Amino acid sequence: MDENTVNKKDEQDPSQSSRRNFLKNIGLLGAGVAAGAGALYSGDIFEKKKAATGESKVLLTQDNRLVEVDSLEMKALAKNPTKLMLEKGREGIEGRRWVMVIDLSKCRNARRCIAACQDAHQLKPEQYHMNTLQMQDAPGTSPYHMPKNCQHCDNPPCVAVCPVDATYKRGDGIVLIDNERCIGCRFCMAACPYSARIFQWTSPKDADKHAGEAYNVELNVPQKLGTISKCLFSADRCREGKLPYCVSACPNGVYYFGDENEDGVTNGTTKETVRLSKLLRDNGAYQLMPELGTKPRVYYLPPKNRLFPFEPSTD
Amino acid sequence: MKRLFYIILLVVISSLRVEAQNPGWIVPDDQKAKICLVKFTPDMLKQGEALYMKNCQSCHGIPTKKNFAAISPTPGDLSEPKVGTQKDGELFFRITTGKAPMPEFRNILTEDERWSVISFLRSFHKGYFQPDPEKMAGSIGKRIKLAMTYDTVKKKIMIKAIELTKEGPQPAKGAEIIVFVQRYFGNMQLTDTKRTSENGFAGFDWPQDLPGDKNGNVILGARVNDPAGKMQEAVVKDTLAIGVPTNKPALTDTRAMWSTRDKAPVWMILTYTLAVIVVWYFIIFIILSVLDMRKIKQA
Repeated sequence: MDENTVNKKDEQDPSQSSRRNFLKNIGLLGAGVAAGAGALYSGDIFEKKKAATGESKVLLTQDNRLVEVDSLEMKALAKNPTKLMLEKGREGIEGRRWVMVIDLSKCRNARRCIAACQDAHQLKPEQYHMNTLQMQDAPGTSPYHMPKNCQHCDNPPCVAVCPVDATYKRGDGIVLIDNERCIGCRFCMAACPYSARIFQWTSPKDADKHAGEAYNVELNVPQKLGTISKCLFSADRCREGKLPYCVSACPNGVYYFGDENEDGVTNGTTKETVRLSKLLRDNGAYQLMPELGTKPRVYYLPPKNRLFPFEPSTD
Repeated sequence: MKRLFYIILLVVISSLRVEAQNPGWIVPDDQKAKICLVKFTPDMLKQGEALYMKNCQSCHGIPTKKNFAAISPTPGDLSEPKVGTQKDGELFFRITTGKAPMPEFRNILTEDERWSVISFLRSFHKGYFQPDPEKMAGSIGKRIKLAMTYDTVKKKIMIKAIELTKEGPQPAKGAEIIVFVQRYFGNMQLTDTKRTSENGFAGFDWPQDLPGDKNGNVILGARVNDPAGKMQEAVVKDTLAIGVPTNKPALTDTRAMWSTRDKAPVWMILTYTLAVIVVWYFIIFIILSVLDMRKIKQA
């Protein structure tokens, strides 16, 4: 019996030990797996964190704040960038009323403003948002050069006639055109007393190169065939706190640009900031065709004491 | 006698020719002596490079590449020994004042920014050693500190200039001060420059009609105007609620013909609605009349 029991015990022992071993092994394995998984997981988190802290990007938010965002935390929006820019472009910069002053006594037809503008807005050499005209007010008077762009009227006839709300005025005074909405009826061209608008009759400059690019309403690029284009007071540059393309390109100090609410305008060449009200008052400033009641946002200083003699344009 | 006259004439003419060949971009001696008051650092060099690429590269090209613009007078490559042998003060003066067609960078780059551009250029000049600012400190003289307050009674902005000397701070006399107001695209100078009095004060009339933000806040700055470089550039900036509170509505806030539907003039909305009502009234009137006629016919 004893032997038997002993035997049984002996027989049972290995089975018992194997179960215990089995359980023990499972326990060990489990602990191992758990530890391994934990290590892997924490490693993974660490790696992710490392990547997340590795590269940060500085971005401009829609409300014009500069923020630093981690490259991993950035998610591409499903929203169309064109649509985003269109929404942003409908709202002006809060609390601003842009105004331009053109000093005719300083213009010598260098045409750098035109070149900078055409470059920024993808225009052909014969297409002008900004042009310099040769003027002579009366037979006996001295001729002068006059840069002329969109006057960004406070009572814009072009906006009133647009049947599809493609051209619109913003709170900060800029009259913009949404080429995605424009149907090319050219009512606005007919309504504008300043002939500020152009029509894309033929395929725009470098249309193939820019095909498929997101449309930026504050820059009017890429230009669209069969739609209107015009001066935008460089709405994109204003947003960044920079002077418009034409203003900063002028070598002769013709242009002043600034905010009427602040009563300050900055010269594009010397970067000198002066009081708008004083500048207008002291120099006998005037506007183009004010009798039409369009209330332009561009002022002209008369071509008195010209700095450069009049030389007729060669082109 | 006649020979002597000819000799004198020749000398005069030759000296005139020298004058003509050197079409005077003459840097005054006191300007030549100006030096940067800090040691050039790699950060400065980096900033200088970025500024150079933005402001200078279009004419002067990339240094050592000799790809400067083909215009007259030729801008030249700024890495050349002709530039390298000039003193820091000379380069600083030329950048500051410009000479047509080169623009003046007085209002475009701050003094610090102009020095960082020079530090970038100096990295191409072999054998250049920066004059040690600390050793030179004695000869460049004054270190000025500015403080700004607003005098509500006199309606003046009071600038106090304090000179930091070895014996301690003392009021700086005769320092030329510029006060400017920050605007969206740049700083606007307030009246003319003024010199500080015996006790270091300079008062600037504050224009009572200058707009501030919606709370009347304006950002003001003051600095020492010191083209001779005898004083270290000192700047003070402060926000004061002394402007005219300006909170003009957006131009789209008023009702106008050109505006969107919800901002259309009231008379237009009324007339249009009335017209629609009148038209529909007559349509319904006619339909009811026709129905009435049918009823009469049936009866």
